[in-house]
Amino acid sequence: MRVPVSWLREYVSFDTPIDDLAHRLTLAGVEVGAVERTGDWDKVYVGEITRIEPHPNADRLRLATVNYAIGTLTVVTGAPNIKVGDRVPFALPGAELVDFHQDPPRKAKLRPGKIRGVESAGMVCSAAELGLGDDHAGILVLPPDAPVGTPLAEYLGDTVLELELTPNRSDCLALLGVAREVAALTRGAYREPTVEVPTSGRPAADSVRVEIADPDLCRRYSAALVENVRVGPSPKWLRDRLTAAGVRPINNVVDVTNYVMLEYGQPMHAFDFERIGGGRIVVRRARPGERIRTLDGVDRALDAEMLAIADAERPVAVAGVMGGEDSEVSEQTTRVLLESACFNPTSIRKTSRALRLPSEASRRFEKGLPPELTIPALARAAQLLHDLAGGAVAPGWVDAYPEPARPRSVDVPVVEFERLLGVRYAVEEIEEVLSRLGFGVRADGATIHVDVPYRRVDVGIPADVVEEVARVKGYDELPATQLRGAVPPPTPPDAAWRREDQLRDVLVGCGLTEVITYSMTSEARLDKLPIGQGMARLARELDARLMPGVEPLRIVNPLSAEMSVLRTSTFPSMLETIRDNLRWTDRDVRLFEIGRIYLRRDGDLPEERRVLTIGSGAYASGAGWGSRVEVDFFAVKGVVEAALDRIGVPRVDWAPLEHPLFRRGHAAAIVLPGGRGQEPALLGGLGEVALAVRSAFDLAEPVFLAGFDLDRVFDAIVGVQPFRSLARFPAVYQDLAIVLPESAPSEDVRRAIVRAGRPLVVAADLFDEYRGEGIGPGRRSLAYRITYQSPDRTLNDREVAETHARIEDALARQFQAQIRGRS
Amino acid sequence: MTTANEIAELRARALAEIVAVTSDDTLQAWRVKYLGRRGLVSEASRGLGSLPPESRREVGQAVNAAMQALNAAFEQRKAALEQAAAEAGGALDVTLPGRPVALGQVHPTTRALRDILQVFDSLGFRVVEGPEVEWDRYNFELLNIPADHPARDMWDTYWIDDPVNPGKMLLRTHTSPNQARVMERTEPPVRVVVPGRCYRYEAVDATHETMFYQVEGLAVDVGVTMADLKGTLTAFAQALFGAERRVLFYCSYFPFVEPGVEVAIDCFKCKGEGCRLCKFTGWIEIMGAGMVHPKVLADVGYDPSTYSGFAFGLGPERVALLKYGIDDIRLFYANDLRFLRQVK
Repeated sequence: MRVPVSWLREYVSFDTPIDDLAHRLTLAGVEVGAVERTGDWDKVYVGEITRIEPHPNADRLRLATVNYAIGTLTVVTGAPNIKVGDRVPFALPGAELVDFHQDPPRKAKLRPGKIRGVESAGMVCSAAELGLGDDHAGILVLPPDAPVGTPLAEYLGDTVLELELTPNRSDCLALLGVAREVAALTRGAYREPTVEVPTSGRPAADSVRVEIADPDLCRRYSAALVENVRVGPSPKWLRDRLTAAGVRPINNVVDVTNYVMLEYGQPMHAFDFERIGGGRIVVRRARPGERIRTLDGVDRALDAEMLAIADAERPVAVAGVMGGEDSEVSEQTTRVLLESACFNPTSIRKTSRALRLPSEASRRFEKGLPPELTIPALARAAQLLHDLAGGAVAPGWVDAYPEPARPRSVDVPVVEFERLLGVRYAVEEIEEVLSRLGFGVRADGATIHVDVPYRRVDVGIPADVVEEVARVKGYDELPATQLRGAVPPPTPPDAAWRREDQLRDVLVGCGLTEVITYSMTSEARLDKLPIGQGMARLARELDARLMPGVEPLRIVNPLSAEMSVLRTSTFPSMLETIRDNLRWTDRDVRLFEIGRIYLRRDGDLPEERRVLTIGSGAYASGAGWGSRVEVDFFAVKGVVEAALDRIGVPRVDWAPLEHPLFRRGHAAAIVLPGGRGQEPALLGGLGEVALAVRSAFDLAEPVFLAGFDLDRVFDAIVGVQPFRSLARFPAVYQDLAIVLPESAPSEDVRRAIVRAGRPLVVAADLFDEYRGEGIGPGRRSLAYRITYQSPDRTLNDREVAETHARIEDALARQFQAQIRGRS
Repeated sequence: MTTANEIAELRARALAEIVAVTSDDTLQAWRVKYLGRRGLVSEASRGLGSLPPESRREVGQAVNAAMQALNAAFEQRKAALEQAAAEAGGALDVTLPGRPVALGQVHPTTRALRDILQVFDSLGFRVVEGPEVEWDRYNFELLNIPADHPARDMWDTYWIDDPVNPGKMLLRTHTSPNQARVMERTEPPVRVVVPGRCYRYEAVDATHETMFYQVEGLAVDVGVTMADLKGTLTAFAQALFGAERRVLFYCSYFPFVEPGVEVAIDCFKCKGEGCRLCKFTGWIEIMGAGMVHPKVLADVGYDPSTYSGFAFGLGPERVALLKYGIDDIRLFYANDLRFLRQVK
């Protein structure tokens, strides 16, 4: 909403400086987004072009001689749109104009200078150079009656407040509403226009009949008939006001309806009454198949959900949205039917959406307007048509108003102010503020009866009234206190949010960087991930996309096909993020995301499964300067183990996993061991991405991916691990190297060592794996450092040797292992 | 004839000489010269027997003392030379880079969320979470935004295709639905913050993301006032943006609060003078807030004449943008490591 200050002053007196006023309005909830000054031009005058010549040195430039009464000067201009006789804004050196040669454009003082060798002592200006809008292609040509030599500030200047209104303040979509606010904030005097309408001729009701067929969509329809209208241009003051408010002047009849809309906030429409069949207005839902050509020249199909203004036969307007071309006021029009109505906001909103036709009128109706407003606005418009278009107003309003609104009032307990605001206002203060805002106020003991002015459709409950007083007095006046009362119990330590945060720190410590990717993706991207068969039982729970038959949730109104479904897997966005980063670096792309995937549950909100996704490129920085080391499966496994251990899942099993997402033989499922009636639970998976998947994601180098179901991981947390006393007696270390078939997993070997070495063996740590020369095909060598230790004595060589031999025998038996270094 | 004085002189000369010794060779030469079998000290002691008994004792003691002192000096010098030899090899260039340490980083949004939640935690607000895919009922209706309410335009919404409940499922546009969710399952007093992802059907540009995070806050109890709102949010803003920040509260509108509040801080860049960061207003909006609307309370079964509360909502990305001077919100979820690694 654009509020020209000169116009505003007609309804309220104030001497607050405009910038202060703008600030106060903003603080009171009527946000002034910008104060547009179109008046602070110094050294800019209305000039007249008296001569135009070509520039001797440049084809695109011309020399314009400008008379500005005080003198005549010749200037260089590049503008194509001026001709001799045009009145234009003419700036002398020293004038401050917007300079479009700077980026971004800013104000600069005009200096005299030579342009391509010709002296230019001033400048003819575009609207944009004057700060009046965006158009800087051509010179702003003023009306031919603009007085030459007048300072432009006097002729064109004004200050416009650009309001950015919240949807509740439809009352401020009117100059009068804004004036009320200003009056309340500045204690200035508020006045409404005096409306006296001289009438003549036969009563309007003799010629016009109005019928509301669908009262659920139209609460009130008021009409006036004005005869003998002479359609023509409006006077300058009215055109200037409309222009300053951002509305294009058309003719006096249309301009009056727009003027009253801006003044009162009531959208109005003027029909050429001769074109209203049968002199009848029927407010009804459109009939199937009905069409109307609207004022913008577009032929539109109406449907039964849309409210139409019809005459005896056909629609003549789309109610509250736009009038029809056929009944438009033209130069020939003499009988004007004025409409001032109150439509159902929801209906208008839907209709304007459906027709993709937002208008000044629909914008206002959507926000809700009071039915009481139709008649005052109608009277004002009739008065202006009488004054400005010579119209004869037929006596009487034709007013269909099936269920008149009752005046609204709110009873506010005096204590409510203190209860909600934390400060006590004197009753007189409350009364004073509310009265300035136009409320009727009557204090009665502990209660204040408040009559709400009909314009204020946003005020209906005590809290609304409390806000009215607080915002006018200023929120700054309120004290600032701290909450009292019981502090709720702390967030439990096992809250998933805390666990997630803890996990982040561990992963960051492991060198991984957190990413956050979109929850929206496309099916095409999800489809790049292969769905597994066979071993898919394990895979399916690791990541929903990898499971057959998982349909993603679809977005009805996606921004793009790229983001049209909710992800059932985080792998595509992780792979893409790795790929994008590998475009500029060759190492250390080691990432994780903690987020959700969304799994359909029929008839209910989806499961939002918390997942951890880890992704890594093939290289990481080495210990040396500039060095780079390969990342392998075990590097990522180390991160996973560290992370699980730190958040309290110290023991998991690693099982081989076959899935087409992963390179064959290079993937594992991470399983929580079962026991005591507990089934083993899959926590996640880790593997090197299969070549085919890599190609689908344009990844040239090996990539590792891991995914975890975090709820399961968090469920597996064992809690506090009991402290174990530090060993008091020395440990003995023995190395053991064995050669055994590839099929024996090292973890089984480790367990066998610990089992066979009971009770002296406390650890068996792998330190070497070897294949090749001297080992034989299908076999490998594993080497362990075994730690022997007793809690109650120093071990002697003999008992260690005995245990060691027992271990060797057990391994030989269980794995057909050969002990290396023993023949 | 040797006197005690001569011995003392000899000792002093030897000690002065050893100071200048810097190599093993000269040290050995020194030793031979003074302490060798034919060294000067031995020479001096050779004539002892011919001395009269009274001075023999005196000179003998001087010789012993000199022997001890010179031996000690020799050992000390030898150790010093050895140490010097061991440390030879030139000084380090201490400006060479350290060996790389692999440290990752949390996302800037996480960083900002932690800062925000930590402050509210210290003010007694507990963290809860809620679903990102929501019902219209929680995202709008229970927030006093019925169907076709004009205020719905404030939240451009992604709708989810749900054949069972058409037009009811959506991607939450704010974390405010958890106001109702928390109150439905809790008796007052309530003091929570709700972080999480939100979505708006909105084209992405430098200042708008279609996916972003929000922290919703809610405090409900008997006697919670707008003064408490001001105190709490002032404490928050000063904790996060500096104790010297001025905090401005002014009227705004959100259908689920009444009175409605917008919160701004004075621009920390230009100190209120007006600059690009604050769009030349001197103030930077940081969040919306207000007193919980009585209808919102009543709809979840709280008696609005007994209980009152305040709610607020803010964006961690905006906090990070402001704190780190980031000029484009699109950087957040493009996940370029060069960006992610900058926010420390």
